[in-house]
Amino acid sequence: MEITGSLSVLGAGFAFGVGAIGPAIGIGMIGAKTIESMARQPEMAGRLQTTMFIALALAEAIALFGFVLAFVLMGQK
Amino acid sequence: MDALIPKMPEILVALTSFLVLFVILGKFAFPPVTKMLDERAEKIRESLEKAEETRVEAERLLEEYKVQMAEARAEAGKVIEQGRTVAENMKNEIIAKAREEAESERTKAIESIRAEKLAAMAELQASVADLSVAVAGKIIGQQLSAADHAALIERSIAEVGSLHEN
Amino acid sequence: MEMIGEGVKELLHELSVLTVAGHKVEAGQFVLTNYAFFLLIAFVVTVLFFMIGVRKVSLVPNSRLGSMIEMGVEFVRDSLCIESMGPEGKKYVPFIGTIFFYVLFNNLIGLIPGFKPGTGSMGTTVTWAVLIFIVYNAIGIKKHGLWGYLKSFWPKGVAAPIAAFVALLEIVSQMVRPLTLSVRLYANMYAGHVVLGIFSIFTVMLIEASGVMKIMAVLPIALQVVLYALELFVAVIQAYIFAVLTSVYIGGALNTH
Repeated sequence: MEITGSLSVLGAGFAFGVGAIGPAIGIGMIGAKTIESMARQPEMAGRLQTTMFIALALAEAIALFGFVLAFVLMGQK
Repeated sequence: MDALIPKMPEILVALTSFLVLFVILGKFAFPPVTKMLDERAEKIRESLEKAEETRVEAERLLEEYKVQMAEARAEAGKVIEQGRTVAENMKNEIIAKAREEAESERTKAIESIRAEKLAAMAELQASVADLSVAVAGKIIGQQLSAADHAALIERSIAEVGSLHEN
Repeated sequence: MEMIGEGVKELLHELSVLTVAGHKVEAGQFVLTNYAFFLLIAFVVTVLFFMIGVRKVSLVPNSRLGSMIEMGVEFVRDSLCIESMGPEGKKYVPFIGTIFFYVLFNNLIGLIPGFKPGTGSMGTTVTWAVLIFIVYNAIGIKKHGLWGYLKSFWPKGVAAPIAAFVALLEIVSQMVRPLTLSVRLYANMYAGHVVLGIFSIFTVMLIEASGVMKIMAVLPIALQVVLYALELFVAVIQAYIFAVLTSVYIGGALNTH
């Protein structure tokens, strides 16, 4: 198979792929801890959920920078 | 890169449609619904309060009725007890009276029987004497055969017996 | 392999911003784009949903549509506004509600095969994110005054250099908010559709293939069903996140510390 495309495409793939590792671990930890807290204090579940989504959004934002970067790199010739 | 750059026509459409939607929903959709939700919450709260009030009132009445019932029951018991004593007394009285009356009746009867008996005895004695005199006269007046003799005695005895019977 | 490459290229072209006729949008051109078209459809659906449903809302619930609207509005009021803004939040129910329901209907309509989510384009999401950015800052300034609001970025009780650093971080994170808010929604919708599209390409490719490979098409179809459920979940959760972040931002502007 012939390899086509520029290195920037490769870079774009890495930008998103590698950039998503950290946030993925973070989101997993947020979810695990939230479930743990909910099990411990079910009456706080509502507030915990809101806080969880905010924390998720923050972690996700980092992955999104990778996503944007990937798009930017894709456009480079 | 191209996909990340916002396109002008989309910005305009998104902005105007959002603002129009905000005005429409903010005027016609959300206020009635939130008002209704508040009303419902208020209504539920009111009904719950009213129900609670009614419950407390009912409990109070029940308590009152219970007390009244107990009082009435005690009263009725007392009345019955009283009636019973009264009846008992009356019964005793009546029995005593009846006994007394019976006693007096009996003594009276015994008395009268004795008196009559005495009178009858006296009369009998008198008649026996008369009879004896009459018999003696008859004997003296005529000769008696042995048969006559027996018949006479028998008659006398029968007479005495009949007298005694009376 | 060649076929997949072609298919993906076509898919990406299809998902890019085009005019309704299918041409590329030139700079400075004012046309109806494909995403704007579906945005307007979602607009009409949202308006109809509320106009028909609100009339059925009554003190004693008696219709499904009415109950749905009630539940939705109650959710916006209690779980989004009051939860993250406090009792003051009741005032912002129309704003948050409009955002939540508009985004939700856009996302859901996008899942109908052949349709696109109006939120699957940066133009839409950036506009709303910037609008939200302006609105929550305006709310903060209105409540605390310009100086009072700006002062809230400066932490109290710390040495000046640290405070300056924290304030700088705070301002940067504020500036990044509209970007993350818009990219999050756009990327979720766009990426979801790309994934669904790629599995469709797989399916078509395997069906067109010869012999045993035809049977293999069952696999991507089964996966497609699972992914569809996931996308449905993502559509709802992204609308929720968009709305909850907006209310958290407004709440932060209202209750500065």
